[in-house]
Amino acid sequence: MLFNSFTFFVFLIIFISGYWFLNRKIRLYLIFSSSLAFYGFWRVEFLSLILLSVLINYFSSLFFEKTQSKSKRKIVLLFSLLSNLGLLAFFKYYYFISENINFIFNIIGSEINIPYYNIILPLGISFYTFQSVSYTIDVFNKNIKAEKEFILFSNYVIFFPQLIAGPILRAKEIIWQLSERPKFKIEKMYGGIKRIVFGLFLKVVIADHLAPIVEQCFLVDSKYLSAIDIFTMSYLFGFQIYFDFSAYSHIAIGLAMLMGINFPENFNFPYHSKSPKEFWTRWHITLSSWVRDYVYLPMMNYKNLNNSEGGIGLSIYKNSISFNSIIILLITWMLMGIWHGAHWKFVAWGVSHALIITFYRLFDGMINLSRNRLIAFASWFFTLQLVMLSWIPFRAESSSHAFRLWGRLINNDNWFGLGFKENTYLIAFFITFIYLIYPYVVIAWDGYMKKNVLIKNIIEFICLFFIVTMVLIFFKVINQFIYFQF
Amino acid sequence: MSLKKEIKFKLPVLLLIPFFSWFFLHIFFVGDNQKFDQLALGEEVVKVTNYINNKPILCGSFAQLDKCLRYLKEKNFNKKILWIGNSQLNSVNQGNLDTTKTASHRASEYFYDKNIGLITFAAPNISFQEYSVIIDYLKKKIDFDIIILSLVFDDTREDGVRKSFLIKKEKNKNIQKTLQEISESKIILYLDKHIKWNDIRSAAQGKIYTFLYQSRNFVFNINPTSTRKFIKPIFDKNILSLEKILKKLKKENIKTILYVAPLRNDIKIPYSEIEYSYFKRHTKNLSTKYSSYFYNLENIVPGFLWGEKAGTKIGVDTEVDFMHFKEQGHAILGKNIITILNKLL
Repeated sequence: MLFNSFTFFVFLIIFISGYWFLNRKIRLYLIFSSSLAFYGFWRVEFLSLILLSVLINYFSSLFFEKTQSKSKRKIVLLFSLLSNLGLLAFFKYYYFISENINFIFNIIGSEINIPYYNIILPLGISFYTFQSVSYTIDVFNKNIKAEKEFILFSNYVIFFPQLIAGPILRAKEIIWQLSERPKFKIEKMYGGIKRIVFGLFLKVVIADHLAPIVEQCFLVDSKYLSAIDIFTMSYLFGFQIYFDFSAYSHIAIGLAMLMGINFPENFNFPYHSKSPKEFWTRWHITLSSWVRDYVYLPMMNYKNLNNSEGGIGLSIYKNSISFNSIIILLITWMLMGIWHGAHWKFVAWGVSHALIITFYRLFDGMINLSRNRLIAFASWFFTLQLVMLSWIPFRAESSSHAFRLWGRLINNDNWFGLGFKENTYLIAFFITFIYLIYPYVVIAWDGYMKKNVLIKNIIEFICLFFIVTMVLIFFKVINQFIYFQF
Repeated sequence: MSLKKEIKFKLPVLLLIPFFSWFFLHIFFVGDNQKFDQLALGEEVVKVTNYINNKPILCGSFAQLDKCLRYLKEKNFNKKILWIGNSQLNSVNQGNLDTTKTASHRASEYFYDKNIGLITFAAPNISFQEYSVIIDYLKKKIDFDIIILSLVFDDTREDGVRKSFLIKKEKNKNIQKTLQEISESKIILYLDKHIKWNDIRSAAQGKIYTFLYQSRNFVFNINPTSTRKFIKPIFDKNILSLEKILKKLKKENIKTILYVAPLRNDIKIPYSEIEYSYFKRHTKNLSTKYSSYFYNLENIVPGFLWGEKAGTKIGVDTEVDFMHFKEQGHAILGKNIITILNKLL
C-alpha cells in the first residue's frame, strides 16, 4: 500500500481506531493482520516470502537461546544467514549475477549460459532482510535475548510503517515498544500528524515536481552538457531523492508516533554536513548504522554498537590509515552500493563514496578541517559538491553513462554552456537556497517567538493550512517512492 | 497554558484543517474549467474549434482528433490533407469565439467544395518530437496525400512528448490490477462524483502554475521581447525528429509542405538573429534533402494585424503577442496556404 493513497488513509483510520481500544493480545494481532493487509494490497503472493523469513529467524534465534554448543550455533547461524541472504540474492541479484557470469563465460569462450528469468523484486525485501539478519546476529552474539512470543517477533519484522522502505529498526529498540501498551499522549498524536502532513508535502509537492525535470536532464545526450549542467542535474536529483526518501521516513515516523512508538530518525539535514564522514551520520542513518554494526566494525575487529543511531561516522581510523583499513572501507561501500540495486552503477556510487571518505581522512589528518570558520565553510562547500556529484551514477542509465557525465566536468571547452531550459537552473538554485537556509530560519524563528505563543500558534496554523492545501491540490496516487526499488 | 492543554486545543484544529482547505478550494475553484494554457493567454486570445457540417476540423487532443478523422472518413474525399502547428493555428487575438474563422478553417472550407478534406491539429508549444507522434498515429488511420508542417523557432525549445499525446496502449488483460489499484480507482471515482475532486484540483494547479510563471517573469523582468535562449540539445533532438518525419513521408510518397510560421516583424523579434537564421537555413536544407516544399511565410502578416495577450508578469494586464494574430492575419495565412496547395494538387 502506498502512503500517498486514499486506500491507506481509510486503512489508517480503521487501524488507529482499533489500536487504542484493544487489549495487548488483540492489539498485537491487529498489528500483525494489518501489516499483512498493508503488504498484500501490493502482492498477496509475496506475503509467503516475508512469513518464511520471519519463521527462519524466529526459530533460529530460539535455537541460539537453548543451545550452548558453539559448533551447532554456528551451523544454524550460517543456515539462517544463507536463507535470508539467499532469498535476497535470488529475488534481487539473480539477473545481475547471471548476466555477469555469462559475460565472463563469453570472454573465456565457454558456451555455458545461465538462463535469465524475469523475477519480480518483492517490495521491501532489502529492508526486512537486513532487519531480520541484525536480529539473528544480535541473538547469536547474546547482545539481546530471543523473543519467544511469535506474534511480537513477527510484528517487529513486518510492522507496516517501516516494512517497505525503513527506517531499519533494531530489535532492542522496538520490540519492547510493541509489547508494552504505550501510554496515549496527545502531544505524540499531534506531532505524528504533523510529521505525516509534512512528509506528504515533501513527496507530492516537491519530490514529484522535481522528478520530471530530472528525467528530462538525464535524457539529454551527454555530449551537449557542460560542467554547469552536470552540477545542476546532480543537485536536482540529490534533492529529489532526499525529499522523496525523507518524506517516506517522516511519514513512517509520524505513523509510529500515532501508535505511541518512537522510531529512530533517518535524516538530519545531510546536505549541511561539513565532511563526508558527517554526511553519513545524517543520511539514511539507520542503514549506515546497520552497515557500521554488521559489516564495517566486525571487519575492523571492533565491537558492534548495537543501535540504529549515529550512522557510520566513527573516528576509529585516526592515526591508522592503513592499506587494510582502506580495503575494508572499499568493501563496506561497495556493499552499501550493491544493497541499493543490482547494477554496477550502484557499485560505482559506493566506490565514489569510499574514495571521497579516504581523501577526507587524508586531508583531515593533515589539516584540522573544523579549525576555523573559513575552513569549515570550505569543507562544507566541497563536501556538498562531492556528495551531489556522487549521485550521478545513482540516476544514470548505466555506469558508462555515469562516467560519460562525470567526464563532462573536465571537458574544458564547455564548462559554462547551458543545455537545459532556463527554469531548470532556476529551480535548482531556488530549491538549494531554500533548503540551505531553512534550518537557520526555523531556529531563528523559534527563538524569536518563544514569548509570543499565540502569534506562534497562529502562524503555525497558517503554515499548516498552506501545506495541507498544497497536498490536496497536488496529491497524486500513482507516484511510488524512489526507495521502493531498493 | 501548559503544553498539554495547548495541544488539546491544537489537535482538533489540525484535524479540521483538511476540511477547511477543501472548503476553501471548493469556493474558489468549483466550476473553474480554464486550463493552464488558456490562463497564460488570457481573455485577449480566443481559442477556436472550427466545424464543417457539425464535425470538428480543428483539434488539439487525441480525443478530438478521432472526431476530426470522422470528418475525413464520412465523406469520400478525393484527397486528404493534414495541417499541424502550434497554438497560432487555433488562437486568434481579439477574436470572437462564435464568428472567428481561422486560417485552417478557411482552407478547409475552400477545399471542401473541391472534394478535398483538410483537418488541422494545433497544440500550444508543440515540439517536432510531438509532430512525429501525431503523424505516426494518424497515418495508421488515414492515408494522407499532403501534410503541412508549421515551423516555429520557439517550439524547438520544447522537449519530449506530453503525456496526453502518448497513445494509450491496449490494456493487457493478463496483467492483474493490484488490490491497491482497484480500491484507489473506486475511491477516486466516488470523490470525483461527489466533490469534483479532479476538476477543482486541476483548476487550482493551473492557477498556481500561472502565478509561478508570472512571478518568475516579474522577478527577472521577462517580457515578450526578451530573447529566447537557443538550447542546442533540445534543438538538435527536434531537428532529428523533423528529419525522421521527412524521410518517412518521402518514402511513402506523401507530399510535405514546410513553412516558417508568420512572426511579428514591427518590433524587435525575441530571438537572436543569428540563431533564427540558422534555424531557417537548417530546416530549408532538410526540406531540400528530402524533396519537400519549403516556404518562408514569416513576413506575410503585417504588424498592425498582430494583437495583444494577457500580461505574463504580475502587475501587467496585457502585452504584445508574438505568436498569435488577429482574424485578418488568419485570412492572409489561409490564402497563402490555399495558393501553395493549389500548386501541388
